[in-house]
Amino acid sequence: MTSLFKSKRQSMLKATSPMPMPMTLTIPEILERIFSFLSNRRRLTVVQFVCKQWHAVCRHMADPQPTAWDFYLIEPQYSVFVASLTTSRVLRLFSKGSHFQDVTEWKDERWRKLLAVVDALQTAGKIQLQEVLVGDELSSVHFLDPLLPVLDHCSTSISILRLQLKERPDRTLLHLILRVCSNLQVLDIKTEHSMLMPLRDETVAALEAKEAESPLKALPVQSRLKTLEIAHLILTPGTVEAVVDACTALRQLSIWQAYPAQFTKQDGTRMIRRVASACPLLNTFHFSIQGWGWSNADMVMFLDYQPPCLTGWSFSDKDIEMNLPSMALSPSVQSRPPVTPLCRMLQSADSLLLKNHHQRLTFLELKRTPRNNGRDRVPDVQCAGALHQFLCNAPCLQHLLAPNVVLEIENLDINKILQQERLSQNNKKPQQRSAQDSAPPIWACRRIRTLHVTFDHDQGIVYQGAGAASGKGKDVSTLDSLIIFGYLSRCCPDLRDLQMRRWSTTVSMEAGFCLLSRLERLEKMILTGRHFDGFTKQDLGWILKETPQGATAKWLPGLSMLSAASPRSRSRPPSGSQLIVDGSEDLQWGLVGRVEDVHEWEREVKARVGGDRWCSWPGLEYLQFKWVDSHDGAVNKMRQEVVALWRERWPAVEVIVEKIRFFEY
Amino acid sequence: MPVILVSSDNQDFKVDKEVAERSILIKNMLEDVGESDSPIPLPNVTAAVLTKVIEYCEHHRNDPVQVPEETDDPRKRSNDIEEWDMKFMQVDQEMLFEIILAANYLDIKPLLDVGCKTVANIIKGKTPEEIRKAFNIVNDFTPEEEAQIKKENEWAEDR
Repeated sequence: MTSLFKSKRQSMLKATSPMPMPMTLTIPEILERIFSFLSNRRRLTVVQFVCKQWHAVCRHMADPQPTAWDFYLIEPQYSVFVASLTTSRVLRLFSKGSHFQDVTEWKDERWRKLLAVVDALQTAGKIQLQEVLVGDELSSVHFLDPLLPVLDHCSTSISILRLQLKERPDRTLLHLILRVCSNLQVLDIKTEHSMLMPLRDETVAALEAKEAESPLKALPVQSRLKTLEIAHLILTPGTVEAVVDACTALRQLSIWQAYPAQFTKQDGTRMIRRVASACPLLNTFHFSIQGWGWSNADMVMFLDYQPPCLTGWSFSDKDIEMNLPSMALSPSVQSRPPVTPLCRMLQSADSLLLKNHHQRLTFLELKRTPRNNGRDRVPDVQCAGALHQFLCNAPCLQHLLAPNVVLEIENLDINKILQQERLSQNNKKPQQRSAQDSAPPIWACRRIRTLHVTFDHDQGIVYQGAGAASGKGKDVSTLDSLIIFGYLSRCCPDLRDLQMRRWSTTVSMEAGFCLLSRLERLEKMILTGRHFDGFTKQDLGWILKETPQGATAKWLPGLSMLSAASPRSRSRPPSGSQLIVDGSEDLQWGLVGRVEDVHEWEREVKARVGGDRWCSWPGLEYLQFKWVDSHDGAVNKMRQEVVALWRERWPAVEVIVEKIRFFEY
Repeated sequence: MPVILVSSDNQDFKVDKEVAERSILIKNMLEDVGESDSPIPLPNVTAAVLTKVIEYCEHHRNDPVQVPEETDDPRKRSNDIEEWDMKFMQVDQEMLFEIILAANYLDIKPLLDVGCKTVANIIKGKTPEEIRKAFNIVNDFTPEEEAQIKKENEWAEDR
């Protein structure tokens, strides 16, 4: 008996004796590589507490703060600055305002001293800087002129230059940088103000005189420059052509809201053709001119000439905007204003266009562009369903950045729940769907990872009552949330970065916020709303129900929607233009927008994990809620509750709750 | 032209040169040696692991060679493992770590990245104790040391 007991115990001991720690996890280089795929916050709040070695690796990886310099650094600050130059990766050169600001010689002397220090450190091989940011008066040619040769001397390490200018950049500045710094990889030039006033006649005359002094010449070959972003450039003929001729390795070229001076539409057409022929590796392109929109001819020419590797389109959101009147909207699609050229292209069902362009695009940006009517920000941009149509035809799209372009909730309402609600509000009998009704188009971009959009009702559809019309009515708002969360969670299982703006957002269980926990790869979520309904601890109870004990390692995030993430064949039915994505039938579209979807998800989670812990959003690293219509006191109260709730559940997630101004909404 | 690779347990693997050259180590060896039929010994890689590594290289034989600076794109830094790679990495922990070691030794950067991303995904969503349990790591901190690190990092909590 005893011996039997002993042997059983021994065998049990043997079975449960711990496996040694894998050797791989003791090699600092490999640990560093693994941790590089985690956020700085997760490294600081979780990973470094695992063991001493992991702690040492995390400390080694901690991002050093950018080193900042300005004219008014006094000793001991200056000594600290010089010491940190040898370890820092980012150098910020800014100049704060001061009563000394007119002392030019004194500033020149300090500037020369700084440049000499950087140059000497580079010569001694003691510099690790990768990026330099220059702003304020230091970004003027007066200070840039002596800085650029030093940056070129440091080009083995410094490859990124960012400028923040007070005035519009022009050809002489851009060409000066590219002439001196021949080894940059990223050049990013922005202005401090998002909207600058038009140039006055005398400014244009001064510009002409300046350009005459330095006639247009070919630039030296820039074989390393991959990214060139420039905002508010004063565009004169030949400015961009000379750049693209020299920078043939460009992957991204963004010329945003350029200002035309002596520049005609024909010059623009010529420029786009030149870009296409000179930069064969270009994969992302943006070209917008203040006050000009893309015409049909431009669009056709762009499609005909676009570079072979181009998989990213970027436009100003003005190019997709439908100028719907804000009052007395017509429900009739026919009476809407004609679509813009970009809308027409995005909505197109032309098979050649789909095959050659839409079905190879991985990136689409509709950049928020200031309007000239005094609104420095635009609340939302209506595009009459064009963006939705495009998403139904773009299976390869992975990133959509259109923060203020509206995706109409009605288009996501595949079960016509909002329509039935509207009819019942009007005391009409809801229509039953017949078998002949064609299935509504569904997004083809099932691999989408980044989604930044605004959700709102179609402005052509009128809901009963003012509250409901704007989505403020609680019932409609809850329905909206169920539809949006249900649709996204089924259609976009690969989402990593979700940023949505809405008039009214509810994150309660009843409104289906928990459905977003199907997005198991989500890393970043930002929700912006004029106000949030149901933002209490009780409403978020489902999060607290997740038992924190008994975790089981899951090797893959394939718990949910794995079938949706699997490769699909795509085919087009001979009679219709609707893209069919095989396998969509297993996504249970019939539940979208219904509260049963929430119950189904709850059942699914229970069935999958059994008694184990269910961890929603295992990869979440950043969560932000932004309010518009709230008192500071209310936001502070919410901030305390929400941050505490999330900290308790996800200590590694950075949670931010803030109030924003109306025009930032 | 085929190349013969020999695992640490003396098994021969005949693979196409372009497949073998996904490994920068082998590519450099072949360039140094020149045209030769002699087998390449890989004393740090067992047959079981080499089989997996070859499977990966076969699948990715036509991928463009990774340009180092392009990997710094922030969009690519996130957790974005391809479907095939994800399935390929559905192995037990021991094999996963062996593949990472082999990828590191053979200098196959994309495979090393896929392996490291897989481990990073396991770490995500776990507490320090859960991570220790998952990887059999011993907590060698004293409570005082742990408290000290927490104190040093209070700023991170308050951000």
